[in-house]
Amino acid sequence: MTSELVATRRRRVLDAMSERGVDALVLGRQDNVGYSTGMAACGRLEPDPSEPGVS
Amino acid sequence: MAETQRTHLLSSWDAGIPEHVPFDDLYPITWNPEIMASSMAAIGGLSTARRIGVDACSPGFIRAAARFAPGSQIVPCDDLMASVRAVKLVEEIELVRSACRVVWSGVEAVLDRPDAPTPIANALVAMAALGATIPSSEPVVRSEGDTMVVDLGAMVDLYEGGVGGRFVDGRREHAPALVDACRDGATHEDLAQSSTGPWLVRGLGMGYETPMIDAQRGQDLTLMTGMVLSVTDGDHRDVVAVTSGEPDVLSTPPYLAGRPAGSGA
Repeated sequence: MTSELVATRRRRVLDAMSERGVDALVLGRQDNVGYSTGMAACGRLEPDPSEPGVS
Repeated sequence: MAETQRTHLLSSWDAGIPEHVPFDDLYPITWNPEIMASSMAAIGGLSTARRIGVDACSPGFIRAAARFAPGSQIVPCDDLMASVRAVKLVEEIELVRSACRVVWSGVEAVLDRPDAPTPIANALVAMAALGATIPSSEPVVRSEGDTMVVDLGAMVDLYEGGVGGRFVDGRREHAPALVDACRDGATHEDLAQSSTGPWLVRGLGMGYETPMIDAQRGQDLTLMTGMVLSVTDGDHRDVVAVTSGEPDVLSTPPYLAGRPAGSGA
């Protein structure tokens, strides 16, 4: 994964914030943090939403 | 932060922190909401933010936000992140393709030693040797007479790969029509009519993503170019990138003319 990819993903998030008038984005899901910042999360996965009990 | 274009991360040390986030933009882990609120109030632009988007939010955060950003409105942004992530960049598609190749090494490890006492462990070892960090789904390996049913998934370089199918003499049965149905503009009805068994079409990238479409869900969703999907119909699973033309099957086996003789298939 290149730094250019991380920068492009971050730019896409900032653009989406601008389109929606969002001034700050506070992210708690590890996959969203990883996508937006490139911060490695040791391969952690969010729960499979198709499994029973996960909405 | 939109105003400063800066990223602030909750971390007490800089191991694993991307280079574009300087140490000064880290704030520490704490159980004390007072300290947390003061740390966040110090983030440039946050105290005057009008709209703060969140993807996960506790009642405690809402109370804290009322203090460090008193004029702000908290708005859900799960859909913002989902929509950004749903359409993949070219490099992301290639990372998923690479992850699928790693998963194939696990499939081959199973097929090479179908009578091994620990086929799943063999698959995990093979995938880990090529960079898989964690399985992305419950590994499936079972035999039904002459048929081996295998479904494996793994995270590689933070992107997911997956492969599943029924293997006879080491060769996978043909892909179902559902795989070919994953085209730009395809609707729930298109996918349902193409399926032959229990089916699931879901976004795939850095884990489970949108869309999520099966017999009961996603009736109003339409596939679009750039989506990357895990496509399951019965025991078969492929990973597909939706294009403006034919689907790009990212989980195509890494050998073109079938498994070489002597390698198990």
